[in-house]
Amino acid sequence: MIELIVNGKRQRVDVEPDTPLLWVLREQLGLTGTKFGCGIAACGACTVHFEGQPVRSCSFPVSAAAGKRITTIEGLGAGPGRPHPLQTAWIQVQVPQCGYCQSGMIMAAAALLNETPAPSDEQIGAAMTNICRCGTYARVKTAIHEAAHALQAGNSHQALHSHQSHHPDPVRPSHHAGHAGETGPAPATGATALGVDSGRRANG
Amino acid sequence: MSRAASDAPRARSLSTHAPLSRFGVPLFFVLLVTLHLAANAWGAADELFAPIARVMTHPRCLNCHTSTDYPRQGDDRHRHLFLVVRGDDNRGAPGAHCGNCHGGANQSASGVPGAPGWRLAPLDMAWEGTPGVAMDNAGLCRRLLDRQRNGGRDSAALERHMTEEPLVAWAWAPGKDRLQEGRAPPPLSQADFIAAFRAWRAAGAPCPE
Repeated sequence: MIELIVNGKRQRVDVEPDTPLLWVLREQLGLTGTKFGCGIAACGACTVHFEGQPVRSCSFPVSAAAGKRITTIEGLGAGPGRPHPLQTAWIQVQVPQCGYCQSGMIMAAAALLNETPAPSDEQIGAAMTNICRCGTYARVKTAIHEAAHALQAGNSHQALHSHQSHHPDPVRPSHHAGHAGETGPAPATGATALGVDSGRRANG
Repeated sequence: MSRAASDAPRARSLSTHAPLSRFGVPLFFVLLVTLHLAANAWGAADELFAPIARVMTHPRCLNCHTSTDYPRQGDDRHRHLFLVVRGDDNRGAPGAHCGNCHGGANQSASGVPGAPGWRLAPLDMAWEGTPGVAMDNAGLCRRLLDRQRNGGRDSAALERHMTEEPLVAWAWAPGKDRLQEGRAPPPLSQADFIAAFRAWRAAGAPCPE
């Protein structure tokens, strides 16, 4: 049995130690916002945060996450109806097309903004190694700038605080963020792909 | 002109160079022996360092001892996919650190290699003469011993690096790639490499010329 702290909630899973974290998140815990893309840590669709750092969960053994804090797209925002500024920007800019890669994109972008609050285009290019077959890269860049501006302007102070602290109390009684309306492995679109519990929907 | 007259200058010449012929012959042999010893020393340096260089210039080592602002991959030493960059601390860019994909061990499911502290060697420790091309053995040896560029390591510290550093050890346990094909280790076994390194060091760590 391996214990994880996923989106602030302690979880115990009975899996082989070398099981990729991705499959534990999706199949044991039902957090299907994190996607399987290439399975070789190349595309980034499976990106989640491990102790605040982005990792490709398809090639991250669950045993390495034992007792550690994992944040998925479902836990990125401050709670239902309180999306992370990146999720807000993603919708405002209408970044996704098919949406499949977007949760990984957002998780990678969130990690970038944690370290570099006002990234240049070059820094975004260096950080965002995720692959999008729809070619949304230009809008990804625009949305990251938008989110960075919002965070710097303090418009989303509370969300930022939540994002940076990553649930200071790791043992919360309930899973606060839910699955953002997504229940299956099929490609998500629009807001659901972003893990956002919102009435607004992006294209798709 | 008579024969006696024509021989006169030659006789004078021999007489003039008599001291040279007296000391020149032993001097010549001393020079010969010196050159021979030097050649042997250079030859020994060549011979001692060659197996070390074979390992150091293998893709498992050289791919992260690059002179570029990015790592390389594979036996063909292509640029790391996704335009991964070196970053200020040799561990990638903010948001795209080496450790985001490369964990503490090789991942059998994905084929992603891993070892503790996955990172590039600093540019000072590049073993490429020009991007993508390994230094020759002499340059490699000098670079290895240059304490201004090797992290201040003396030869004992270099030996520790070669024998104890997990990333170095990874070269002999590189795992399988995404196609489940084993990556090639360096041409010497780890034990043979360590033995070669110790022998080179015991000889005074001579560098080939």
